[in-house]
Amino acid sequence: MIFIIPVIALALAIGGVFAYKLYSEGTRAKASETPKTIPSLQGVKGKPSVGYGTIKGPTIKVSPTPAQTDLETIINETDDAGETDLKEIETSAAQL
Amino acid sequence: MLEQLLGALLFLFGFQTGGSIRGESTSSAVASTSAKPFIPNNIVSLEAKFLEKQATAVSSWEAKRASFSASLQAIKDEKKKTLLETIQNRLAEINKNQTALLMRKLKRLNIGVEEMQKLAQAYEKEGKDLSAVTTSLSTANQAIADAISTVTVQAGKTYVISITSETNAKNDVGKVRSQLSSDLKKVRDAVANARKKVGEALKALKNATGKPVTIFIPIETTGNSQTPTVTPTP
Repeated sequence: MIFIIPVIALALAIGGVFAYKLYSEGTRAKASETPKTIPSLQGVKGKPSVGYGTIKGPTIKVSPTPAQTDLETIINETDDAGETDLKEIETSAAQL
Repeated sequence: MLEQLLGALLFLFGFQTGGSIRGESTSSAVASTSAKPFIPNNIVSLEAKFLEKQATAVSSWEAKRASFSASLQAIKDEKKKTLLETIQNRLAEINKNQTALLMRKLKRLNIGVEEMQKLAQAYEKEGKDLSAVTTSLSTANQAIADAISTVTVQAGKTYVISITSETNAKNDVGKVRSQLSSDLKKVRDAVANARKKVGEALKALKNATGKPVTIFIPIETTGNSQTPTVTPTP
């Protein structure tokens, strides 16, 4: 038991060193892939953009459209007169 | 002279004769054949009454709460006591929700009648005879008023369980439940009748105009920002 603990600790330390090496090499490789300077555009004319600026034009006001129902739909609706809810009461009353 | 006087009297009482006040058949002297436009229901005032009744029901329940609590003493089982309290609260809730729901539906039907009346009046100006439509609309208007009155009365009712004994609690609940069910069915029938009459008026309007009529009604009518849309425009 006394010998196993140092062996495990040593194995973990070696593993950690290897893992760090792999990680640092990976990030270095990624950094080398990224170009240091942005290549200039070829054959482009005009001034560079300074953002969107102010767009002039007609102002469109957005207002919420009220939900509507056709009168015919309302006429053809049916009511259960609370029967579903009253059925629940009946079920509850059965426990009394 | 005598004929002119008789003609004037008959005209005043709404009768028509061959002659006019001036003793000749002019268009100005001939009475209109269209039915008189009805006065639409004052939905704001009717809704205020409904809300008043709803508030009355709440205060009435508060007054009866003590008697319910007293009758609850007959129950020894705490679980049953809690269940009975829940059922009691639920009964009041069902009545409140159902009457509010039906009132909203009646409000929409009322808007429908108002819009149909406007449309009928516009067609009448074009010279079409819409007297049958006006009569149907008047009937529908009255049916809505009757249904609103029934819903308002129902909204003011309270349903309190009176527990006679622990063994009889189920039956005691059953009695109140049946009463509420029966009352709500009566209200539902009144609303169904209003719906039927509005449907008949819409059918009459379609037949009279010879065009498809579509009336869109806002789902919630709060304020004047939501206006119904009607097609076709005469």
